[in-house]
Amino acid sequence: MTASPQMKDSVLEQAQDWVVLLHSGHVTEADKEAFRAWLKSDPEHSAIYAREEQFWRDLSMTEAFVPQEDYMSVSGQAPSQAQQVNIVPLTRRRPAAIWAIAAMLLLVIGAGYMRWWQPDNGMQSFSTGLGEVQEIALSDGSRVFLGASSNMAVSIGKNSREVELLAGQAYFDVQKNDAAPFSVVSGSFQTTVLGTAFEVTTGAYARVAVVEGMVKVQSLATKESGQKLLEAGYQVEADSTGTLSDIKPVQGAMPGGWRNGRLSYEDVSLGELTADINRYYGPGVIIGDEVLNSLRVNASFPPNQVKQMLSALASSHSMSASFLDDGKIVLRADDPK
Amino acid sequence: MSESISQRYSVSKPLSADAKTYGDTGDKSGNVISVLGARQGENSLTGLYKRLWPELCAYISKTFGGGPPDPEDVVQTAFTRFSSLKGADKFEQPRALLYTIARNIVLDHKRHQQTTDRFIDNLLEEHGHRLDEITPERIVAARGQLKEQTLRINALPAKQRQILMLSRYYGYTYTEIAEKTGWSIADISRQLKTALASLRVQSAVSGEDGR
Repeated sequence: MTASPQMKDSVLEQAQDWVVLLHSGHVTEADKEAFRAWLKSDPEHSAIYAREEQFWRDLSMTEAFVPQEDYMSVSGQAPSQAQQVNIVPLTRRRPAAIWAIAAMLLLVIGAGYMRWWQPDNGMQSFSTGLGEVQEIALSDGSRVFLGASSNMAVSIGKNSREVELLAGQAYFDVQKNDAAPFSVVSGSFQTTVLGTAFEVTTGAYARVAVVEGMVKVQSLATKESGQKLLEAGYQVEADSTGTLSDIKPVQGAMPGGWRNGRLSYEDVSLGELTADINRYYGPGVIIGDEVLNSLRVNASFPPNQVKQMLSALASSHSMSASFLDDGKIVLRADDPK
Repeated sequence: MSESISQRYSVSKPLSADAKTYGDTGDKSGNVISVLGARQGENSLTGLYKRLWPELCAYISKTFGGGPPDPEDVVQTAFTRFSSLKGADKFEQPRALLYTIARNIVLDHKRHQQTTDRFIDNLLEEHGHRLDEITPERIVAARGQLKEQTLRINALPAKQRQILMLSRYYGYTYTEIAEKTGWSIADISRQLKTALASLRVQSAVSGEDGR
């Protein structure tokens, strides 16, 4: 693990640092040795550490993150069915390296079906497979369209409505409720609304685009925090650090256009278009030449016609599309001559 | 988990009783769960078992994966431990207790595989400190304080809460949390430290520092 507790801190702080360090799941022999020495250096240390350690372990005795009793009514299914959906086919855990991913993908076993689960506080999760779009009715009356290869967790309460978009893209049509702000956390930023329609995209081309009403977008970055108010017809982009772009009129992908089974883009970069396509097209589209990432294009096509669209695009721009045997499509810039 | 397997059938036997309760959606809310909860005798072990078995199994398998420990074994053990509590059939909110017990069975299992926890236990013992294990009895005895603690945890900033959840309640390592969230390990450690310090101060202020 990283840095050992600093001696300048109080003993309590040092003890708490040790607690956090020792429960990291990857403690080195050097860490253990340093901890042993720290305990030995003062009889007070072990007493204080024991208390902090007990406190930390005992946290799992609380009911925090136990799913709420009424979570099933949120799932939008008849309760009797909810009972039956309960048991998801179990799979054996994968080797440690991909454990975290496996845990997240647990719901997607038997791909194509949207799964839900409620790990904490009535939180439910929804996932979509490749090329799949799902419409989800939330218990507060809001509707969410979850885009392809996307994953989100939803928690609807009396005083707050929280969504975490873990991957992909979602379009929100939010039921107005002044008492319960609706917020969407996505990677490095958060979008809060009272009632409106907007689209959030995570990943390398993260953005929030507003269709109706107004939303507040906040960076979650610890230092460079910023906040923007966005009106209908405007969008803001975020990079991976949570730095927000200036507000600009909606451009590129038509917000929520994908809900109707058609992907529409105006003046979008090929990089962004490709990132989107790859949530629909399994074999994958690869940009072979860096310069193409920033090429601006227009396109509108159903997701099952990726090949045709890219062929057409290649013929109208100075690039070529090669179709490999495994279905991969590689885009390359034509040699300038 | 051999203990649980041997006891599975003795506990599951009463399952056949009052099966028709399930389909009853006479309540205005239409929520089967709350309808059941309101029913007399619903907290009998049989009723609980039938009502909570599927959701507990789903919760465990979705939270911790398919095992080991096997989710059904975990839930079985949880019911066994719960039923061995004094007056188990009289608890007002047995559901949350069962969740907590089940969750701690998995976390305990994970801890036993973690050499670090044993290392800490042994080292503290050398210095004359013995840590209390998490048992249903302790959970029941500390109910009031745990309620307060739950509220405090729920009131933590979203990021701290999420990291705390993944670390303390799901048993993820910091590396796994980093992979899942994209946050750095240094940031994760910092958030946990802040969460620990603030929960600690709050519980000390409300006089729960009774150890």
